[in-house]
Amino acid sequence: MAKKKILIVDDEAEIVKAVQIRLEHEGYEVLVAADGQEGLAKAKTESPDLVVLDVMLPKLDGFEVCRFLKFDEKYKKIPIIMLTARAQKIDEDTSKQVGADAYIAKPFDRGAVIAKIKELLGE
Amino acid sequence: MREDIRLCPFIGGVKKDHLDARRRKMTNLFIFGAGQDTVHLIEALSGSDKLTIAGVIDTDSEAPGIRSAKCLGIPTSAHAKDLLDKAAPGDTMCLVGNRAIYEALSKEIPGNMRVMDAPAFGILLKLAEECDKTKLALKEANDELKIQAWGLNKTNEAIKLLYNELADKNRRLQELDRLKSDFLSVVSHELRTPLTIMKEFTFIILDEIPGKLTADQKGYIEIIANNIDRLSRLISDLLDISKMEAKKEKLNKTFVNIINLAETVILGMKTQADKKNIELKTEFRVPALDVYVDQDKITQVFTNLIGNAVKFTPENGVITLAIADKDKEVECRLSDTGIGIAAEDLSKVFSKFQQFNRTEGPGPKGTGLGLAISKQLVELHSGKIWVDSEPGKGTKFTFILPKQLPEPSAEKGPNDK
Repeated sequence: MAKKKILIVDDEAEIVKAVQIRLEHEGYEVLVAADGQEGLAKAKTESPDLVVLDVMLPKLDGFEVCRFLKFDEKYKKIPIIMLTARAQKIDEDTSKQVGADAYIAKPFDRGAVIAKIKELLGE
Repeated sequence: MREDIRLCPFIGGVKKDHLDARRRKMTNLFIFGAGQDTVHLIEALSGSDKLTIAGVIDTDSEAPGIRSAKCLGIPTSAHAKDLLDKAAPGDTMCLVGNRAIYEALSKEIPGNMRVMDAPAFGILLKLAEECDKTKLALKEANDELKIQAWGLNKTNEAIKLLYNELADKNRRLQELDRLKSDFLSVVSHELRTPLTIMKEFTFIILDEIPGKLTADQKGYIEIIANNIDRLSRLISDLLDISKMEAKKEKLNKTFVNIINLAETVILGMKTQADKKNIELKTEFRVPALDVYVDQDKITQVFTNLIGNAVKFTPENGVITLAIADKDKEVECRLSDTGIGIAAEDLSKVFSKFQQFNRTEGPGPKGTGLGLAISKQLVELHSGKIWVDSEPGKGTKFTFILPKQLPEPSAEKGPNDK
């Protein structure tokens, strides 16, 4: 069975690396993007099975990327988990508005993120 | 009563000033009276060209110098009626005489002719004068008020200008406030990011993903992990304190049973206490005690105080939490059988980063801010917290919280106190 692909979009390279190591250890294939534009492009071309998306991103912010994907017939089925360090209610509300499937505040519990990923991938 | 005739009584003496005042009002005078008073009146009135004295009733005195005067004899009501019939609209009828005659006559007077005695008439005149004076005073008061109104208008305009200035300043303050809150969230983010990265990689190594670890390596890296957590807690506490000092901390009050709240915290501490064989006692005289407080914050206070007690009480000690209902307040006392605090250190207990030379037991190391935060949280609820202690005799922390429940009377609401 082909490995499930997860796209991580976050501008903090070291955080991305930590999450990548974990996810690859769990058996997923991991793609990365460092800004919103790159993230949106890769989401469209690489057909990931799930996207982990940070809110604060250069070039195009996380909410916009989520909105573009969720309001597009072709991509709206891809589950999206939004991550943010701001932890304010407004971020939670906005991610609901743009159609995100889940919202996790940083610093996140790695167990919680992996559990959520498994849940959204139906495992 | 014939309203077109003016009545003018003169009883007793005829005073000149009365006369002057009334003379002006008299026209075609009919005098109905008897005795010397009538004579005097006629004499007094005789100097006037404007008066026509048309009828007089008198007895036996003479009445010199009166034009068209007619003396008829002892006045009777028939005479009064006669004079009335002769009177034309605008005429004045005078009643003159002594009191007895006046009273006798006033009984006889036909129809609804109204009789007023002199004093009463005098009062009426006075009232009329007063009325004029009042009118004048009112006018002056009115002018005065107009000036004041003008003054108030000017003041009003000045106030409007000040208000606008104030609104402006307020907007600027709100912006500054927003910037500050952004600062706190930026600081929060900036500090937490490297910590998150450190934590993630530490756990990746501990979970042996890149390879197995020796026992020593595992132990040392665990120490690193614990200190990362400690740093995280320190940052949270610092942020709590700066939010409270910037008065940004808002209380989210609800009705809480403080006994329940305390029991939950005690339950959570049991494992730690058991490790040191410390007994956790509670003294609650009632099963429930409602207060209107921020549940999370008060839980934080209990957690901090009980946690400290567990940390600083040696093995086999006893920690007691007593909660008492003090009518409008609730009093919570936490005593331990720990080593106590020296007298010179007591005043510093609630200061930031004060950790006295007490040997700590196992468990995560404190930040030194717990008591400072607890004090601020208690005071945010308008409560008080203090400590009693003696070296070797244990420590007792007491805090009181206003219940802030609604009064039994219907008028007050839950926020009134």
